[in-house]
Amino acid sequence: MSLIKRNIEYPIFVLIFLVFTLLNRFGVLNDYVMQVVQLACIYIIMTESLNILNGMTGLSSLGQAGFMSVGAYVSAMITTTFINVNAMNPVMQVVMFIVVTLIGAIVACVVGVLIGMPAMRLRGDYLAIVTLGFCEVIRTIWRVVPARIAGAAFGLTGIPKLANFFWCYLFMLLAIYACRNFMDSSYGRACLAIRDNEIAADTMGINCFKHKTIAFATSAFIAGIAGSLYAHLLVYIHPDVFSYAKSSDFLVYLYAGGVGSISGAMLGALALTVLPEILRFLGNWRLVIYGMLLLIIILFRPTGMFGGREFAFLKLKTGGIKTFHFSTFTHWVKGLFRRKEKEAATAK
Amino acid sequence: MSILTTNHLTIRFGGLVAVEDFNIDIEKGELWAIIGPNGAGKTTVYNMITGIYPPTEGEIFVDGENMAGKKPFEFARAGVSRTFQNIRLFGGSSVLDNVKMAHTMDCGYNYWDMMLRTKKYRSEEDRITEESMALLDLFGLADKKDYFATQLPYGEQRKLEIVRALATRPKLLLLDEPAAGMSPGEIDDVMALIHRIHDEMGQTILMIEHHMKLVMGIAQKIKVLEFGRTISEGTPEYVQNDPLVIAAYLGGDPDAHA
Amino acid sequence: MANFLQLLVYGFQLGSIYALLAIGYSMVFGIIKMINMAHCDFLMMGCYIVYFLVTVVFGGAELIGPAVALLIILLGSSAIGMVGVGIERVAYRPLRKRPTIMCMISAIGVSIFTQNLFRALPFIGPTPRYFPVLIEDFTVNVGPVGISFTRIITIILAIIIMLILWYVIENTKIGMQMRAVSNDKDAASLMGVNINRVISATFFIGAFLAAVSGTFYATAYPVVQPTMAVALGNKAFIAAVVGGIGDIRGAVLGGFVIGITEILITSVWSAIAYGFCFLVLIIILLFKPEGLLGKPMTEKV
Repeated sequence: MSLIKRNIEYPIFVLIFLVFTLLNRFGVLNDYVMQVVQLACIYIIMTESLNILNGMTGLSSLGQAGFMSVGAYVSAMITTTFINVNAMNPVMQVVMFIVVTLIGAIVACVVGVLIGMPAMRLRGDYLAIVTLGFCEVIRTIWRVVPARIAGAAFGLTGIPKLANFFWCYLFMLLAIYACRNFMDSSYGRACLAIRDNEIAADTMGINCFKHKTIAFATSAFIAGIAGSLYAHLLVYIHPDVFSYAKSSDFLVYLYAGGVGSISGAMLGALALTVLPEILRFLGNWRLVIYGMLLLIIILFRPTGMFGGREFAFLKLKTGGIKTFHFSTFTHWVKGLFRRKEKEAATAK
Repeated sequence: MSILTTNHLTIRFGGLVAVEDFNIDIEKGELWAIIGPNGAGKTTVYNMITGIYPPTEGEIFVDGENMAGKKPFEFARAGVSRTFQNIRLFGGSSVLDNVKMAHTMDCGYNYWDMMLRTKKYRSEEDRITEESMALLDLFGLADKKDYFATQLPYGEQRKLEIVRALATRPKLLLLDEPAAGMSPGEIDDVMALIHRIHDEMGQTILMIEHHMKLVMGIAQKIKVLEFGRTISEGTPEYVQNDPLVIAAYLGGDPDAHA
Repeated sequence: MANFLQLLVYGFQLGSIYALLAIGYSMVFGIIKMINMAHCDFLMMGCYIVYFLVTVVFGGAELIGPAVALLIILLGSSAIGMVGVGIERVAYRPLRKRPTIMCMISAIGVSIFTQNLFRALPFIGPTPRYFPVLIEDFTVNVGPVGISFTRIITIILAIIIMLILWYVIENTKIGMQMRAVSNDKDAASLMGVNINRVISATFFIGAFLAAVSGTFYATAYPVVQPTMAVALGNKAFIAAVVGGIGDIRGAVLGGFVIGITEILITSVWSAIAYGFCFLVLIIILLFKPEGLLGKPMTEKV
């Protein structure tokens, strides 16, 4: 019994998945809402990948959209241009999807290492600028690749819709746990050391070059997976989608949620993906209010919405000094009621 | 057995000779100190023997190994560990994590062990935690293991930096002004700490320090630098009475004090 | 050959616009070490304000002469300068003690806010507007090349403005204070410099120049819409970094280099022009990270 209680988050994950699926099946949540949820899962994966580079290793990278685009285009090119996946039976389609996602992620990983190796020599601001540059160069490359192969300026259409809520959710959980495993190990600690004080890390025997390369590789791999999911969810991709503006979106999600913490990245991405949809009733003023809310979050809560805390279910031993248990939440709620009772008692 | 040997170590920055012909031979278990006025090149010597600056001339041997052209992390793996003049702790991490980070180089699992959380990963992590906690316990910081490193008071931050350097189990520990900015009472604590590390743990230590009470109190051998050159070397008594040293610190004509 | 000279003139004009914009990026970075992602929106706002003043308030450019138009440009740009001061006060000043990447996020928020505000406001709206012709254009023949008079005027005006700015920075008290603050903020404040005022002045100048450059841009490419400045801002930013961010001469040099490069590459293979500029940026950063005219930064161990 205690084994289940200690690991209660796993059944809860399954439960959440079932709840969403059933609500969709019975029409309570329409397909549009499910699309937003799936997109949120993909953006959570992207923000987690950025967290590895920026939050954990201190490398301000504005190139995540570039890695995402590599994953998206490589996997989509295989399923659309080179192999006609639509003609295969469902089991083969699933297998193909996993295979192309992995291939896309591996190519993204290689690109990440190639970009990271020269870029990591540079100081903070310059690193951001160089990665931004690489992101735009990759975008230009996708624009000039012949239209027969990757759609060029017209975009790549007709991608088979192989990604559904199950895959988005599953990969999201895998990405979160991969990041957690990374953080809670000597690799993660080395990255934190590099972030806080690179010279001290050097003199303590940490091979900064090797660890930064590993951070770039891991981050790009995860971003590549998200890219493949993205392509196979929206069935249409265009180079302009993966511009530096998208990279800066992820940066915003990360900082709004709380940089450096895995839970913060998750919450930030979730909140800021859902927020513009909730604000749809405002029509043209939607993004104006969104921009304003963003400013308010950053100005009044610079440590992020979650303030650097981590969820207790992640069971982090490194870094998660401030943890947020479910009991913390219930305690806070009870505290609100207790205060009301106290005020009522003193008023009498 | 010589832990550190340098021969004719020299470094030039353009036209400026920061350190000239620095020679030292530290045996296992010795406690050396380098003293000298500000700008004498003491920290520059440290930066050379930890690999941060490549020397213009000269050789460095750590435990017999030629360290020419090696990077700082290779020096650390060879067994040289240091603290810094302005404390360089990992501010965003806890006290315990700061010490655990020193174990990165002897960590026994690889990337896949980490991702898949194999038994090897678990056992190595337990070992690292155990060893780090033991060290913190030894120095009285165990109850503060979950504080952020920068939340500690100044004196304990310096202690943590020393503990972190010790966690790499170095052959040679370099202390850069361990008593900087401390009151006399705190200096006594630092003296006791260094004594403990040296006597009980048998650690070979090289120390840069300005507080003469600390230096004369514990150092076995002292080297005096001025303007990058070694002007004196020997036991504390010898150095204290050397007219060249007195002139360097107090100013004036060395012959006048003879 | 004539074609090449023609392209060179276009490149100079585009370059002068990038230079004015890049100066803003450079000055702001020099003084608070922050890349202001929202800087390009000052350009857009400058276009709109001149558009409205000329067409709505004065009823059209034909009714006013070029001299009045110039006055309107200067006044409108000053108004945008004040907007810049206001934005700094609200969105960047509270974050001054925090790592600079937070200011960058704040700038992204400001950018989203202003671009969509201009889109949402009914009298501005998302539909593109046509910028009025402020001065009668005619072709000047210099040898084999026919150059548009307006282009020459914009290049000359831009250069005059840059020279005035250079004079201000080098020879006036406020200029000296700016240089002091960009060198060492804390030491400057200990010397009695009012940091807040200097930073506000820097933002004013940056926004003013951006607004002016917007007008010059719109005389050559007269479509005005809220998202017009994003690509320009990116390229001006590249120009500032290539020339050496933090240094005004670097921004000017970088502006012209990028402007001319872009026009020449566009005439050869237009699809890669944007990416090529970024490639130039990457190569410069990898081999000379401080830019063409910048000074290398060092860290004390």
